[in-house]
Amino acid sequence: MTTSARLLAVLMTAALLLAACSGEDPSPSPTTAPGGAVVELAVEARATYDLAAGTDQRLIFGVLTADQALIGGGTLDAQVIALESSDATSGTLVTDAQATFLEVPGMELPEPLEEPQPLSGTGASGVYQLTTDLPQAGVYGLQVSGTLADGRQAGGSTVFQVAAETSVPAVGEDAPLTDNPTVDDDVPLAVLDSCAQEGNPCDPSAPEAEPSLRFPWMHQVSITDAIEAGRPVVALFSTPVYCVSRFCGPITEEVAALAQEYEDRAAFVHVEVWEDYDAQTVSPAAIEWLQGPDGGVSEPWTFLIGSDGTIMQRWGNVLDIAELESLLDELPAT
Amino acid sequence: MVTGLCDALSESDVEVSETIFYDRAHQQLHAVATMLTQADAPQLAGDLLRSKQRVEASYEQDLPVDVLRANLRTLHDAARQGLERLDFIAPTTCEESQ
Repeated sequence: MTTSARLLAVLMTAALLLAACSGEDPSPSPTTAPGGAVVELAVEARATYDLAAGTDQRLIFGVLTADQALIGGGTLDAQVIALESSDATSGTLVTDAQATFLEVPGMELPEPLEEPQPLSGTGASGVYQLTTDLPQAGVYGLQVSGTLADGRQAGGSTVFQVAAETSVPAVGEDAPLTDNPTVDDDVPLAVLDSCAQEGNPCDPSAPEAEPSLRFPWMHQVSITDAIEAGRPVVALFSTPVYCVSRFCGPITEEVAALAQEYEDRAAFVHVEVWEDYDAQTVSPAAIEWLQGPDGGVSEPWTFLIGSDGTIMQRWGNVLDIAELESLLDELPAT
Repeated sequence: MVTGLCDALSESDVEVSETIFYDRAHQQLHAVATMLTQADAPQLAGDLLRSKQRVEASYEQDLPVDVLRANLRTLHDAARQGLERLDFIAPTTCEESQ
């Protein structure tokens, strides 16, 4: 289906509605207008890591108001459009779907919100997600619209790039056999978990205490050892202290808790991303798994690896913990 | 961001202080840390992120208010030093930012 200027339709509609309501030039003030408010949203598709052409690709995106308040709750209408270029005004609609809100694990809403609204003051964080086919590499548009809890119409759009191939191990591929360090190796504890360093940044109640691992059960085996033992593996690449994603949350704590609940289903391995942050030395395991074509490393990532060593699912940035639990439930107890 | 940290510091209600911190400083701190690494100042970025982690853990663990405030002050100092390294003008103290 070919669509004309669909990518910018939401923003243009918002601007025109504002003009109709206020009688002013539509360009400067995107936020509200008396009697017929329209809210312009910023859409951050960069929340999705390692997007590549293929079917059933997971697309997550943050949605913010003009004053940078994160929007969450309910669903938003979303269209994914294949574009000829980043400044194209027409393209091919590839997905028209409802995007659902996905909370950052450990930063959930006190109660589910049925309609999208600013999350300010809730302590919650999250993204919207949908599944889309991405037929080929290139530039895509994403336009989002919906009705906020206060009744105002809201919309926004962005463009994003899709690569021909993934650079991080993908579903169906063999998991790299990585000898990430464990408690049995003679390495500083901070190499295993950035929380375990002098000053105990994750436990400010004991800044003078000797650093220790908070979740030693996440550092018992390497990814290689777990795969060679024929066990499914949940491999978490994260850096509790040095995460810089907008959607950082206590993912290490949440997966460590899952590890205790599902210890009979899979081996759980936490790989600290940084070997030495101040020296900007990334751990070899993180480089092996996560390094992109630009040389950078995205984090956090969570992988579920089957007992045959094949990657069953992967989650970049925001983990869908309910999906992970569901997949773990399907694994046989060992 | 610095004003947000100062407001979080001066707020007597810890829950309100936490809301201020997350709504008005948290994301900006990430952005400053990223800019510092790009500006070849990873140690300042590291200091900033370690200080931020202590504040987050102080809220999470409901530590005594004096511990929280001490950690917020340290974070404020780290943020100020980071901003100065990036050639932003930042108030030296919270009083100056009022």
